[in-house]
Amino acid sequence: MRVTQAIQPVLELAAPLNNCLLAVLVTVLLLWLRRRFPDVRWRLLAVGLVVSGFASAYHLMASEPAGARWLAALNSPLFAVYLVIIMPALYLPRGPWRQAFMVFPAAILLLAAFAVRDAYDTVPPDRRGFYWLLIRPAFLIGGVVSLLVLIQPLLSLEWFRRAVRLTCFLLLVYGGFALRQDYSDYQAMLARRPQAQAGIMNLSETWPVLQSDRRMLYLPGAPCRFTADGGYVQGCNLEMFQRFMQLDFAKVRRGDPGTIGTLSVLLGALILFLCLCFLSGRWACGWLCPLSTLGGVLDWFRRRLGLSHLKPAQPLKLTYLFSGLGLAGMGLAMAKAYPHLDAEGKFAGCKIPIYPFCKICPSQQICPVAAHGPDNYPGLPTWEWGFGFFRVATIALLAIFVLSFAMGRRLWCRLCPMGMISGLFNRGGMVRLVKDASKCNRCGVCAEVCPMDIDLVRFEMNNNDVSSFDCVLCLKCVAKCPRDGCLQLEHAGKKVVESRFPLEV
Amino acid sequence: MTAEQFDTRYAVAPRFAGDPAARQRAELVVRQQLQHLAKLTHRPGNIGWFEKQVVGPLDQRQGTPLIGYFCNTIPVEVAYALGARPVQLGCGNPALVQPGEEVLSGEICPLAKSSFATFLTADGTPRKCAAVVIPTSCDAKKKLGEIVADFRPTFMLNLPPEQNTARYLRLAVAEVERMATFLADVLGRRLRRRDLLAAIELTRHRSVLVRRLQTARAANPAALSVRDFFIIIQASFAGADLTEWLHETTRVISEVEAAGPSHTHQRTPLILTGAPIFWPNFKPLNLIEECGADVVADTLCTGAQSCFDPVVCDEHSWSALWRALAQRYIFASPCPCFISQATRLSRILDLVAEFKAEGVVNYGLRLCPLFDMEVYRLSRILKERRIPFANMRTDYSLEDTEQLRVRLEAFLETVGAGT
Repeated sequence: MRVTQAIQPVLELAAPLNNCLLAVLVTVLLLWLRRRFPDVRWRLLAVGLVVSGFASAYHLMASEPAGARWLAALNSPLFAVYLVIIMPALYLPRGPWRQAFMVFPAAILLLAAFAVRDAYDTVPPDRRGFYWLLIRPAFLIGGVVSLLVLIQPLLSLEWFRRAVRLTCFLLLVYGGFALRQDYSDYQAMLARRPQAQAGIMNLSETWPVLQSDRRMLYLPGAPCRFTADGGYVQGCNLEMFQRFMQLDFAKVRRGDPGTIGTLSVLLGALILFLCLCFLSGRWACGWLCPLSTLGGVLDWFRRRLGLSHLKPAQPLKLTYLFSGLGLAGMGLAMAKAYPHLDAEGKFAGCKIPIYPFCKICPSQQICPVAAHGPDNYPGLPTWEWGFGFFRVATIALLAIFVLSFAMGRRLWCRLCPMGMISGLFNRGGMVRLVKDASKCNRCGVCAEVCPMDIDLVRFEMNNNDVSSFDCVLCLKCVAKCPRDGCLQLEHAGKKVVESRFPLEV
Repeated sequence: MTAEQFDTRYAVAPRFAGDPAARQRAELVVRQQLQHLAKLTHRPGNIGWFEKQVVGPLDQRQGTPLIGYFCNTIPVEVAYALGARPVQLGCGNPALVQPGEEVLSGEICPLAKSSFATFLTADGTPRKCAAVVIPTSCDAKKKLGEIVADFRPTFMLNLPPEQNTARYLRLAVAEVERMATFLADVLGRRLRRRDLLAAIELTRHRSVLVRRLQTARAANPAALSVRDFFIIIQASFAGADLTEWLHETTRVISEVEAAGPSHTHQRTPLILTGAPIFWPNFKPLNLIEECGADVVADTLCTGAQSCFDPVVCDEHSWSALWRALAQRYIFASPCPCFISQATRLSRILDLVAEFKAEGVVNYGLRLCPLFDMEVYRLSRILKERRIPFANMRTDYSLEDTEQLRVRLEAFLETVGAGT
């Protein structure tokens, strides 16, 4: 008896947990209840009622084919993992309840191991061999998050962040070919390989693992899908916005079913993305983005050499911000040309790539190389593309990327438009950086360690909320602050982590 | 060529004034205070080691050069990194006020006078120091530097008037760097990054131990008198070998922790703030404990506050290291020599909340206008928050002891009545 089959009814019953709306609903509800009801039991009861109500409505709606399609577009295993593993891990106070809860991630980890075994059992006996890891996304995400939750108590905040970054890097860059869903998916990937070049001058559709069921998951940060064999998730949010721009809205008005279908899938993806941003702010930039993990290697070299970093003055910060906005605007505007490209791929006599911003984004140069070696480099665009604009911009942005990370900590992240969008949710979202100014000794360590060179945390003395739009929530200030409880991170009003001076010699 | 800090044209030969009677009186004060402490019931087993460090004379067997310094705004890590041992030259001996006053003017605080008197004797600690570093933390210190420069090579560290990193960080960093160059020149050694990082790590250990000891003490103040606590802390900057100090203090911590939290807590927990209290002038501490109160935490630059904050360096470039030192020692200092007293005020309020203290006592040193004028805001803010506050304004002499005792007892009665 296969374990994955045995728990199938349970998974189906728990399907509403995958819905992004439920995740947001529960989080906001908890924030509201925290203010109104100090008693935990009332809060649990209210959450239980809302979840069961939502689940009944979900199952009712899912019985209708159209409703099921809409719901599927709003589902992602990420949200189930968030509700079931991450939330309790963040919210349960240290003590017996938390220790008892730890059994749960351990069980999920075990389940993930069984899921891998089950996936291998489906491989025909004569084809058995080394296929990396065959595992379904839900089990993979659940397993990885469970592992991180289990090792978290053993690590300091900084080492935990390193562990999460490395895990996300491996998952997002190598996950596309190393972690396929099952054997048939793996075979399909091999069949696509000869024609699936990363060149995006002409769209050769790549197949990320998480694209099944016409469902797309775009992340804040830069998980580039132009890594060979499709990447793991659909890609970054800027790819999503380019897809929006590519839509021919004239066709939508005429009621073209294909275009409307694409639009509906994209709208689902947009809602998923906004929910993620609302729940986590710019957290993904500090903990998940593979581009900054790679850039961090350059930063590490600079530190090893004992060189000090370039502290950007306000004009330089603003230059980066507006350059990023300008480039994103240009890329999105050019994506609008897609429906009007002629047979040679030209618009008004000018060759324009299908994903114009992706072409100049350094991630598209770096991630394929990181995943499959230098042979996979997509190559520089020739001069005919955009009258040379793409060639120049590609080289310039790559140079800025390398220089910014080599000299200015995370100066690059001030230019990155993907991070800017999720950064908007740093204030007003569910994540807040909070400072207790009465505990502050003005030593300025928070500003000294900040990879984004933010001074607000140091200077703010009147306001508790020290979140800012450019903060990547790396929590280095929280980890390094020498005053206990001076800085803390709040999620939906609940203290997640606070500064604590380590008392170990 | 850079301008010298002190104009050598007007340098005068130092005049030593060994006053044997004053010396005998000073030794008597130390002996009396030691006898007074010996009456305490719970003392750590190895308190003798700490007493030896603060009483002196300095043990210089290894031939380690000494760097004398004043105040808690000097980055001592630089001295450690250069293979020297920093010695805090502040003196609390009331018997030495008189000899100091004979040379200096009368209108400065007893701390400056008695500290200066140690320069006048032939075998005092300052004469063993290779160099002296003084910050411009108050008028007395500013002028003391020029006088002391006749006795030992002296460096004046210019403090910014305001703890504003945006405006003064560059200046402060340049000062710290200049101090490091001066010390390296005097000692004839080269400052290496590795050594500086090791020194920062060493003082971080000191912060860890001081915090642990403070937490353990707060749970049961009866297990360790605040006077012994001060002796332990002051031993660490009285020229003791810091590694040895860490070892001995770990033993004290385990003793205090073994005593466990007290269940019968009847004594009033107080927060002590104000001017520095130097060995052997433990008059305020003696009084508070004898009147039945406990100092659970302090903001004194000769108390736990002095070693509470570590130097945090994230990057190891020279400029990052200088910044880390300057920010810890100058911009995080609660010293009243800076324009705003907000750092000190919030520290006091935070300590009251953290240690559930029932009152705040300010020790104001007579003739120190800085601490004196801060009482205006301190008393008003504490009154607003309904935290009982007493100001002990006194000097080194023991004449007003009984008067202070009466006032303190009255204050503690109102504290008891308020709760």
